Amino acid sequence: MKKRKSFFWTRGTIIFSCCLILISFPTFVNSQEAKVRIGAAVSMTGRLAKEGSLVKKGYETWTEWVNGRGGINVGGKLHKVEMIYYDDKADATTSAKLTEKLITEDKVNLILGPYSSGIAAATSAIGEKYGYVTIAPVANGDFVYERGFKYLFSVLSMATQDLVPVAELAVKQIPKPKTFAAVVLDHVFTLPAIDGVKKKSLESGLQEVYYGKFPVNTSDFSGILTTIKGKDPDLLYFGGFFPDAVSFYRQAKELNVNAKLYTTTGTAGHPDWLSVMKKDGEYVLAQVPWHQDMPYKGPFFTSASFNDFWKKKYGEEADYFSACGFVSGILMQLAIEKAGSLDQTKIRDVLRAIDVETFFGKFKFDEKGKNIAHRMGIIQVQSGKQVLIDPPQPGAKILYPAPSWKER
Amino acid sequence: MLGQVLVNGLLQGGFYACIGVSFSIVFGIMKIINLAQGTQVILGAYITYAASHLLGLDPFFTLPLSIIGLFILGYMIQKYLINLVAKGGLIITSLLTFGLNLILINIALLIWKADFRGTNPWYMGMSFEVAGVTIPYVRLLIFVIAILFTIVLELFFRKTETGNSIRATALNPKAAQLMGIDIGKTYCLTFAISSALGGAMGTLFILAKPISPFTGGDFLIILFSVAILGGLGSIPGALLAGIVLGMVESFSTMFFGIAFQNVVLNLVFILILIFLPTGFMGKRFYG
Repeated sequence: MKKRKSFFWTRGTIIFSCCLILISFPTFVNSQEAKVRIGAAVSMTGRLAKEGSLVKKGYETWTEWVNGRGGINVGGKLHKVEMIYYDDKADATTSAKLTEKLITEDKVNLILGPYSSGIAAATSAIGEKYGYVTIAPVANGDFVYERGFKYLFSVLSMATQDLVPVAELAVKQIPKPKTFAAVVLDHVFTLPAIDGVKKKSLESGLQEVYYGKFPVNTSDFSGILTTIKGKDPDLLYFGGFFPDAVSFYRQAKELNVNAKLYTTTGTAGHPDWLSVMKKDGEYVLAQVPWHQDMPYKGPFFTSASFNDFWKKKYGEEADYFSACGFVSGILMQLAIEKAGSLDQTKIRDVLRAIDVETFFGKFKFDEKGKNIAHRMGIIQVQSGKQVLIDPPQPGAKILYPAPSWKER
Repeated sequence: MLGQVLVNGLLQGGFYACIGVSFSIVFGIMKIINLAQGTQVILGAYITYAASHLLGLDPFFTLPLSIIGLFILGYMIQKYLINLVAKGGLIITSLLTFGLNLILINIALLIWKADFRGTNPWYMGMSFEVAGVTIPYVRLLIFVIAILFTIVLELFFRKTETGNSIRATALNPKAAQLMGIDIGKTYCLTFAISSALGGAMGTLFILAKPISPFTGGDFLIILFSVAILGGLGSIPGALLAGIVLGMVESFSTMFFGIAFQNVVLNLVFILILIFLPTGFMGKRFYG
């Protein structure tokens, strides 16, 4: 009896094990499917949650799109993309730790970078340590690329170049501006951006009447604006992040501080600028890494068709943060396909030599990983729209001089 | 120019004062460091944002909504969370409010996402001039309302029975209990008042700056500075401290440039605490 019972249990165990194997077979087969595992630590919470989430949306959309095409062709075999995301909480140290986890524990094949120069500076050091290629989607503070790193590549041109077209545009206007004032957040991205336009302005014969740096979390700009008002500048350059720019221009209106041209480092091109500032956000200029009216053509999309693709999918215009995320994926894809391998050194060498135009713009890297072929676009907020004025568009022109706050 | 700098500092200081009072009363009276106070301010701002966008209300008219909303939230937090661990001391309650802060941020993130939100009523940015000094209407109104709330709160604590019971509890909880005061309820009420005041400040804040669920963290330095400089639990002290901080900010920007604003601010802060270790109007007991 005891023997029969034991036999029953043994047989049961074997059948159960067989069932388990059968059930897990599809998973087993699936796990054998060729995959490229890509890791990204981006800000989903914290001060940069909005921008980080948009970059992540770009990564996600690219993943879905590329997998819809069968995946990435690595040496003649299609590999699906599997993304692993972590939230860096907008903290550089956390981001660096998570990047290390992606490389050492999750064993990802590749790394897509975080949002912002400050965070990318930390994560790229980890990538460099392990010899992993990092494509930085929105991190163009010049110093990030001045550390002799060999595996870091910037999607964007350097911050010092960001607002240079504004100075070039300004000096062509009539009446020609003579003076400028610059107010800048003491930050690795905004400082070089404002210093670049300042340098170009001085070279173009403009006179600096005010230059002031402000620390993080400044909410009251009335002191600076009171000083600027007394200097009566023609051009007002403002370098700061979204909340800074909103406070600054609201208070400029309150204190009736006028200029012929107003500028921000990117924020007037931010998706939330129009809804928050409404008519007070009019006439302000900003650089944008990408805009749907740009003339670029790539292997998969043009600037316009990418926007159509995005609109069809999400029912809204594509924003430049997401476009940066999406094109980072495309860039990685092109590099892997050309390298025919997931070997980091081979991918790096392909990126080093790449010379390609995409829907986003052109890509050509120098030995430091800077994209020397990219040029920022310049938008101006006109009648509730972020209108691309540089590169020049048919029918689009800069509104200059901006009317005073009281005349609006 | 000097007049303008003075007015700028005064207007900014009024806001600092009121927001500092909301933190100081819980810190001083209940010995609880409410690390979620900044986020409660932002929740008040979100109520204003929602009411003005969904119901079309003027942001200033949403003040009762943010006050009532945050009063209820504050009362519940104290009753069902903090009161349960109140005997655990400062570290435990601080840990609790730290965790609570994270929860509130994530709830806000779920509802409103990480987008920046703001209000922009038609009078935004309008100003008038008096003797060459520009005074923005919104900032003036924020200042007046903030000062008014501070004064009303001080009168409430001094002149009403409930206010006296709160002060008695701050002075000696055990003695207050022996006199028939319900300590638990008093704590709930104090926390609710602090939250309500924070909510009101949120309504005023969104008129000045855009918000996201993470903006609350920016207030912590100001909250601590005003509360400590004014003297923990002292409402007139917080009022004075807020205005002093606003003035120091404004004048340091004028004389040394805004880059040195925080340096000067912290220097003044340290100097005041060297000579007045309990702050402007701080006492050993706050009753």
